Amino acid sequence: MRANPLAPVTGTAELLATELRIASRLLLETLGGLKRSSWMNLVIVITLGSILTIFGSMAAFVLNIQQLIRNVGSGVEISVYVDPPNANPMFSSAENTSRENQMVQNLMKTIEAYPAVKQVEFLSRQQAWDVMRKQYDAVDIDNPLPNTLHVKVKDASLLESTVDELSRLPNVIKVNYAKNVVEKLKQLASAVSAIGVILTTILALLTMFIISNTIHLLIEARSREIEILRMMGVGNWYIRLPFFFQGALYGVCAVAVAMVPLMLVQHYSGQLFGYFQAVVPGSTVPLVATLMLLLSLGVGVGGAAVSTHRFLRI
Amino acid sequence: MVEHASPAAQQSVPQSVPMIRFNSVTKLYGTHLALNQTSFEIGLGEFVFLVGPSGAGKSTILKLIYREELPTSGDVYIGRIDVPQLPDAQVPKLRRRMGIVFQDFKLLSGQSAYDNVAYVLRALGTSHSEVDRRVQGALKVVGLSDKLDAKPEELSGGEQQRVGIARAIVNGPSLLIADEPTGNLDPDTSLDIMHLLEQINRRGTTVLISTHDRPLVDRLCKRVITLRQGQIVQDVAQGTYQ
Repeated sequence: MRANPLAPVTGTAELLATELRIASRLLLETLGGLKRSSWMNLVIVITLGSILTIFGSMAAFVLNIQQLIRNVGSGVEISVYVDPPNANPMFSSAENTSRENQMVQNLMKTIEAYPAVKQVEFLSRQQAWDVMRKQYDAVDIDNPLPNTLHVKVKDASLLESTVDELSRLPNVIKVNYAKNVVEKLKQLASAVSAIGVILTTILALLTMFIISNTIHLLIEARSREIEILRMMGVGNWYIRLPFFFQGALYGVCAVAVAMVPLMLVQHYSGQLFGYFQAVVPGSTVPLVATLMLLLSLGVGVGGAAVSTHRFLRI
Repeated sequence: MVEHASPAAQQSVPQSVPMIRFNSVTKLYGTHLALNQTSFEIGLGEFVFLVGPSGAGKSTILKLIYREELPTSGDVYIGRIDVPQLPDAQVPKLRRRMGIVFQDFKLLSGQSAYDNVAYVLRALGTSHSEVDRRVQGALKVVGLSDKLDAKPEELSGGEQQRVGIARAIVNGPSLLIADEPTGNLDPDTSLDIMHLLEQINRRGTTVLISTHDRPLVDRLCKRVITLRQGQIVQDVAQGTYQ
């Protein structure tokens, strides 16, 4: 036991005990502040929770779409149509077919050697023609179809560059892929991102304003007490911290509220993947929840900081 | 001047250094001159009245001492501490070395006398047993041991000021500053409070009281610094209110 409580504290254990006692007092002060704010607490948590819901849903949606683009994109088949070499009258039909196959095989090897390429499948013009004749009961005419190579890439981001390279290869007539699906998904993701960022920014500033005002009222209500504390030599941070804790607590509670809609968005995003028959990726919930927590702590503590900076005279 | 200075007080500030030293201090509020080239010293263990009409600069001097205000020019020292040059972060420490008593008591309503006195010690992380020992001790000095649980609204004016004084001395300060401590009290209660402050002074604490309670000052026969329009017009060792 120290004879004089103002004498410097010595010894790690005693220092720790002092810090713990201060921390528990700060916690009590924070709870006192929350009690004083009464129904405003609910308004703030619901408002902040709504903003986080908008932010979180949009973030989860965009992250999922990006995953989907990767999955669908790498699943998209590039169809490479190969020009049949002109039949040489000097060779027999069998020799001509063999020359043609040789050329296609060479082309396949070239394409397979691309680092971006995952898989190449050959569909000969004869096979394609047989399938078509079966399906459409076509009349007996000369096979008009070209040989086709079905190419898959390792990653969606490599799709366009691969298509470019393939179309420059000799004997390639045309290269086709489901460009629209990927493009549309990309557009959707960037539109949702842009709207999300704008909405979140506006609403976050609004909530920060509400929190800052609530804490301002609290500072006003406690002005006499704060003045007494200052005169008695209570440290600045002891006076300030409960307001910061209160702001941070709003943030944590709002994240808890916003987790419910986030889980729903994650669930329906999963269904979207099912629709595209893509592999459902890992949940985005942990990442989005972390982002939401950072945002809400920023808004909560930021609101408190604005008020204590402007209205708390230390 | 120095009477009954306790060994503890002498240890914290060497004898050669006065407790309070103002050197050519001027304080302007806008264009209003609150203090004009004021210089004085108060030694360890002294009991001093600061008197003068309203607006004479009494409260300004006290505020400069506990660094609620900064001088426009001049030096203010508490012991060896150059008060105006003290970094903001050190101001709470300075205030913990002194006790401040206010005219309007400044007690936390809704909290018991005990809690009012204990507040600062708890905020500093003092252990429960130490808080209890010191709060009980301080409330005993002011004669309120039987009213630990009473809230300010349940106490008389004099009792509230006693709680204010208990709070000011609970840290064991070497300096006690009182700004019109009897301004809201009747004459009999005022005298009781003055006797209490005198008793605290006898334990070695330097006491500086601003007041315009003439009969009280005359009765106690202590050092009196008289201010008028921001200037010291008289400083008498065993004086009366002129």
